[in-house]
Amino acid sequence: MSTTETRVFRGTGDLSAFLASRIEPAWMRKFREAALKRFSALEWPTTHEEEWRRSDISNYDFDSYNYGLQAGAAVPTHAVDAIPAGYAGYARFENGQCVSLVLKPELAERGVRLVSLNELFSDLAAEEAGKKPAVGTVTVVAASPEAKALENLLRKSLENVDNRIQAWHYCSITHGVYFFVPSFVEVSEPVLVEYYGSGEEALLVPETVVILEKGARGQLVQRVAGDSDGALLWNEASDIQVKDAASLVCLSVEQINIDSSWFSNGSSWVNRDASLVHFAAVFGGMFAKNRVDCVLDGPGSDLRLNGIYFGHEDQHFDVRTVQHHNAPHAVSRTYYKGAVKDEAHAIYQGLIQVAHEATRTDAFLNDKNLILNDGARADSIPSLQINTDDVKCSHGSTTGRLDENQVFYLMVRGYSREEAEELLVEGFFGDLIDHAPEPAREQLRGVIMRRLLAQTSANGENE
Amino acid sequence: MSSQSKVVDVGDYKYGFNYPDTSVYRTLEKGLTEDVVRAISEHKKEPEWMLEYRLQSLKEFHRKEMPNWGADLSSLNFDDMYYYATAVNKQEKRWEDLPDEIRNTYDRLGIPEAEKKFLAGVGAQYDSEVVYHNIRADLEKQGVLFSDPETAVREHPDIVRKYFGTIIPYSDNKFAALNSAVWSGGSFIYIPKGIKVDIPLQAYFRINLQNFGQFERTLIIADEGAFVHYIEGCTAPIYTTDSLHSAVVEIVALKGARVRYTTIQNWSSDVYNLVTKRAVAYEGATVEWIDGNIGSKRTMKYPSVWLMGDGAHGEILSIAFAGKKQEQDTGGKCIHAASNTSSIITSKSISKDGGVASYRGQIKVEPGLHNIKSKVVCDALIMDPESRSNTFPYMDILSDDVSIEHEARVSRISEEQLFYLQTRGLDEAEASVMIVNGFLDPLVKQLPMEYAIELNRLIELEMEGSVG
Repeated sequence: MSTTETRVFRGTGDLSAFLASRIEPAWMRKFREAALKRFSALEWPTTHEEEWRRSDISNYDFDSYNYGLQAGAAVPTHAVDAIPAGYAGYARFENGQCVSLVLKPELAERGVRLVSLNELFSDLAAEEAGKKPAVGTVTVVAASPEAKALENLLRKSLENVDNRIQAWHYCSITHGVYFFVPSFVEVSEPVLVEYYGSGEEALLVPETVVILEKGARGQLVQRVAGDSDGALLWNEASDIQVKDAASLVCLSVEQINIDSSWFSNGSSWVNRDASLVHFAAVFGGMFAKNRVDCVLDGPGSDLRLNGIYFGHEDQHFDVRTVQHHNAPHAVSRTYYKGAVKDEAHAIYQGLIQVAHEATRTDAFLNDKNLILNDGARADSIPSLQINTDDVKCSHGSTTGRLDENQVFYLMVRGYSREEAEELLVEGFFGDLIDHAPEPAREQLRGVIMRRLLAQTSANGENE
Repeated sequence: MSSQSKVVDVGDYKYGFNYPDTSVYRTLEKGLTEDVVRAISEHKKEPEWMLEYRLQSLKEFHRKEMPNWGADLSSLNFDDMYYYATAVNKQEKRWEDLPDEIRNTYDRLGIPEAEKKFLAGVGAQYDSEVVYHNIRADLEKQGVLFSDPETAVREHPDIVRKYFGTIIPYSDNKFAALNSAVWSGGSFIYIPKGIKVDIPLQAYFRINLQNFGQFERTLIIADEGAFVHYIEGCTAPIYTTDSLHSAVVEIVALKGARVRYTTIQNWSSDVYNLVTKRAVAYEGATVEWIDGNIGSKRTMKYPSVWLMGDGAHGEILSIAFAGKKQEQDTGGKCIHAASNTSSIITSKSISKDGGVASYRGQIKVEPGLHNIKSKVVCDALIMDPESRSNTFPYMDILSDDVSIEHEARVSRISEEQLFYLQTRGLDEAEASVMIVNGFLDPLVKQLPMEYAIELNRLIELEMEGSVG
């Protein structure tokens, strides 16, 4: 365990200095340099690009944020917290520092890894320098399959980068988690990863890497939250690989405070006969650009993308999903549902892209939007790009308000208008929430109910 | 009728159409300059205001950038084009000069003699006044104005000035600006209050006039409670040596009026077809676009309806057929700017032999409106693995009392359907044609009968040789 940096960096001009300060293995240093090169070669996205047409980021001064481990305080030792009920492991980061990291010992014995990236990097760097790490702290060595897999996946994800925000993420990762499940090991309960942020003008760049080896099974719940005050900039990414015949369920809940901003990217690969169920919930931030980009990379792969978003006050959400069919005989399903109230504006963009090789593709996409009052706005842009003939692809999208007939029906049964509306909104999101990992469902329902009942106020969502 | 066994592939005009250039306006140089625009205006003996309008538009054309989306237009060269040639040269063509294949195609489509010659640009030998005299007399009796826009500018400047360029201003997009600067030919229609024109108006009726121009301009005004169905183009291939066709069509449907506009576009396969079509529908009015795109190299065309008054209704039916080396970027837009308005967009596309068919459309609901209903349905059929299909529907919803639905499907002809028909004794080719015709049926039904028959035959021709 070590403190990797003490300096505070500011702005993109400090990126080289930030890279130099990192204690990391050579490959990671090279990776960051490659990312920095991509970053320098790209321009900030503008509204001239289709994906960013409705989300203007020209007001952001990306050079005004601080990053690095500000406090430089020692990271607390493992197992400060018990694992929350229903979970198999728990990792918590506060302002980039790992404050808790626990995994059920029987899983660790079977080769499952839940490690802090910074810790992993400094261990690998120490190993490279020939230093003997302290007994009992080494979880991953350079020669291990998990270290190799991590390196490969990060490289692959960097190749997938198509905008500057994403390249910026990979060169400036400040902290993160690596969850690895070896071949044919089943982790039946989810692991919980929490990123928490507070403070002013800080940039937090968490990276979550999930790799499931052949035939493995696992679940992961990620929560990102922040204080009710302070304007942070989050530039998060989750990179996921589900190898042959493996199966992963992944839930990502974004609940940052309303003054902060959120960018989320990352790539997921689903290999032969593997399955990925990804669930995204977007609630927080005055600006949230959340992209889930999945590649069906092997024959028979199966992808399900579920998502909910609920904007209020003057929040701006831009949610994008990509079902990229690269291999034949793959199946993908996207179900997203969103609600907007007050002055919120939500944009959903969903793309089904079928490569020439991907014959017998079966892809579907559905987006439903609920507009709860006048002044709120929802744009829905599902699109299809099909480059071969033997496919079954379709999408559907609806936008509307609560059905008056349904409200009336419930009122006839004795509910007040408010109660009727609550029930209908709960039901609207309910069928998707039922597909989220068990321990997280109640919490999701809670967030939606509180948001529905919230009077317009200055406070963001917090719990 | 010529021999039925002869294969005519209109999906691919391999025989080209290189008439000797006999244009009478050879004095006009290639490229687009102020002099060219002044010469056009002068030749048409236009009033000063129209010349001013053209010159303004020209400036705007040079200012505007090319669209950075949609079909690939990189090989368009504005400096290597003639912007004005009269129909005179076309009338000098003789029916006998046409290649046999084309005459056979016309025959197989069953197009009447007069219209065949018109399509081939050899109409001068035929006196349309005789054929369509009665129709014209009836229209005049009702007070319907139906002429080319040049005549309208001269004879009805009051109506033209009131509406011309108000639906599609020259600053709308680069190609609208181009058309506004160099427009020539097209149609002008005014239907007086309460008049319902019971036969579809077609450009055939004006056969001796200049109709299918390169930069045609159409303005249709349906006064309160009026009805008109206008048909532009036809299912048969239209031959032109121009590489760019850029039309502007403006429609005004006043209170309670209904306008239906049918286009079947079948330009030869080297033409860029970049058309701006827009209609406004006022209180209780209905506008319907039926838009079929079969020919051309690249088409970008999105007929739109602005629903400006309470109870207005817009409907767009779009068919696209993208064959070899073709890119059909088509769709429709409905802008809801008043309460209690509704719209339906239905798109059917077929891509074949490496063609690219894209649906691109928009539904927009302005803020503060009530009871808005909109439904967009896109169906695409891909005939082989080399062909592509895209769907880009945009939805901007700024009111909450809305019901917006969108769905899209892409697939190929299913094995089960083919098998079923083959067990009933059809061969594979017949079965495919039948399925494709069935796929297009909801749109074909909306066409006048002779057009529907022509379209069915055309699809049959396009499908020939696609199975095997």
